[in-house]
Amino acid sequence: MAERDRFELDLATALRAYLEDAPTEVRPTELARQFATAYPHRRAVLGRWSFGLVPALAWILLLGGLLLALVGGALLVGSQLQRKLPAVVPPIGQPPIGQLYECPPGSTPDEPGPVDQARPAGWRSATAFDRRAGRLVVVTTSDLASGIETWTFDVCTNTWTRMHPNREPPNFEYSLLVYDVNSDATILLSVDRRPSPAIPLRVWVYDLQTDTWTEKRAPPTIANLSLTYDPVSGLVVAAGAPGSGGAPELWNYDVETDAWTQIHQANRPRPLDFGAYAYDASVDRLVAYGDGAYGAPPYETWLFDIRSGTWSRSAAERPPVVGWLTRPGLVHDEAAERTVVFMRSPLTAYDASADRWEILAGPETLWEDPPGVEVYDAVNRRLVGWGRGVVAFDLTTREWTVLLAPR
Amino acid sequence: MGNQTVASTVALAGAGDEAAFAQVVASYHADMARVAFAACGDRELAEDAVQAAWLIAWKKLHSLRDPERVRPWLLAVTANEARQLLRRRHGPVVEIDVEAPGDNRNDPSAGIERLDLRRALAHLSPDDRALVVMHYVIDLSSDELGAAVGASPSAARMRLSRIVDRLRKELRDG
Repeated sequence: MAERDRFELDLATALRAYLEDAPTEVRPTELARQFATAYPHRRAVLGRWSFGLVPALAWILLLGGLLLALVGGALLVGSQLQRKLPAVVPPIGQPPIGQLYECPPGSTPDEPGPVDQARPAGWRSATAFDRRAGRLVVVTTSDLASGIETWTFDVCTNTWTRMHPNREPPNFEYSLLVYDVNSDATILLSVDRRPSPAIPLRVWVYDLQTDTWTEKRAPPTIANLSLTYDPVSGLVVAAGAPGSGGAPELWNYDVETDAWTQIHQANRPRPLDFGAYAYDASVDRLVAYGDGAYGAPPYETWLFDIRSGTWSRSAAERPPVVGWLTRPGLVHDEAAERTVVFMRSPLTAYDASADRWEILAGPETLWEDPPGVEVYDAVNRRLVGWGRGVVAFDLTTREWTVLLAPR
Repeated sequence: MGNQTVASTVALAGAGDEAAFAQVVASYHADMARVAFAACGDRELAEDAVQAAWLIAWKKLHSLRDPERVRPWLLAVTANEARQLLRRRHGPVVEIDVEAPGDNRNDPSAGIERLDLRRALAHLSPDDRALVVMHYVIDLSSDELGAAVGASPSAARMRLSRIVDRLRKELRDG
């Protein structure tokens, strides 16, 4: 920055004097203790900041009333609630993405699950969708002292189930989950950036049928890792960069052989921070979203053809959600054939066929501190996110549905 | 904290280490409070904004792409929370209270009087007030400023330059 002139020096002095009234005092240890103790039940503890309780209750009452009206209406006209579950449309010329669970007759996936049910309490988590079981698979942890917990969420009954495998992966700083349709297994890649972790990356595989975790071979150490699944090859794809802004590296992981294989790249995109990748079945490409250092421009969308190993840059206008320093997530919505970027809000989608980004509705109207999108629910063909509650977002109607209200 | 220490501490805090999180709070709370106070112009609102920002930090620190970038991220979150809080309390148009009670303190050594400064700041948007403080009080680099406002470093500098021109006009010529 240029040297400051007299006015700027005076301005800085005056600002400092003015900001003497800022509430800078804090008790760091108490604040940390307060959050550690209060989350996820922080609203009961935070006192003056607990402004979300009434909206949550209002939502429960409203949803209960709507439910009664719906059931009453259905009885009056002598019909039953039905939900269409159309088959997953595979990409043109490609094999089907995999067997798909169907909700049992009489299921009510649009009706909220029981509010008083047990639910995951941890706040560091990763989520995948097991399309053969029709369940979200979630690993979650709260603090370094406790281990992880494995949970599933049934998208036909909107109920959580705590799983009890014989052993579970160790605690992690953050983690990624992806469901491998071909192997009918959920892959966990946990990352640990803490000082001197014994193993920075770990891979575990979860078999929901047998409720067992098995440790597998970890990939090479790469920063900014992202996991996605390529239904054509039936392999997991791990993408990352060796350093911030470095050229991306792509690896295939074969669960059956427990082997990592580097994917050939005929060309490379320009160095960007590629924070997220997703497989987009509508164009049979990986969609990668990248930005410059510090989350600054350029904001670019790139497509990677796994079959030919070639990168191409999208000419689309920059995505509307930019400049956020946290890791974005990408998920492909098979029904709407869009790739959705989720960070905080707004929710944005990339239509690879039309090469266009657009802003979708945000979740702000549901309740205070709403969950963001986590995964694509292929059974009900909508996006699902969870936090204190569980919500679904239909990209076609752009409507949010509460699947489980917060307590 | 040095860069290496920052990265380690933030990684630990992101992993749920209370002591590390407390260290992050101790390091950045004052700057966050200044940004929130500048944006809101109200001590109580600023407290709420910073509290909300720390809650987000507690939950999202682990998803920070680069732990060394924690400061601009925290300030961006704070400014965002301050803006949202103001909107919820006062609607889309927000002005800070110029004639605050007991606000007759002037530093004779300063070239700009406090009341004049408050009046001039009141004409800026909350985001612009936050940006001015991030640069002139917290001394963020161009890269960090860009990160905090979601723009390139040059765009952030340009925006800052326009704001300062406006303040210069009001405080020197007005």
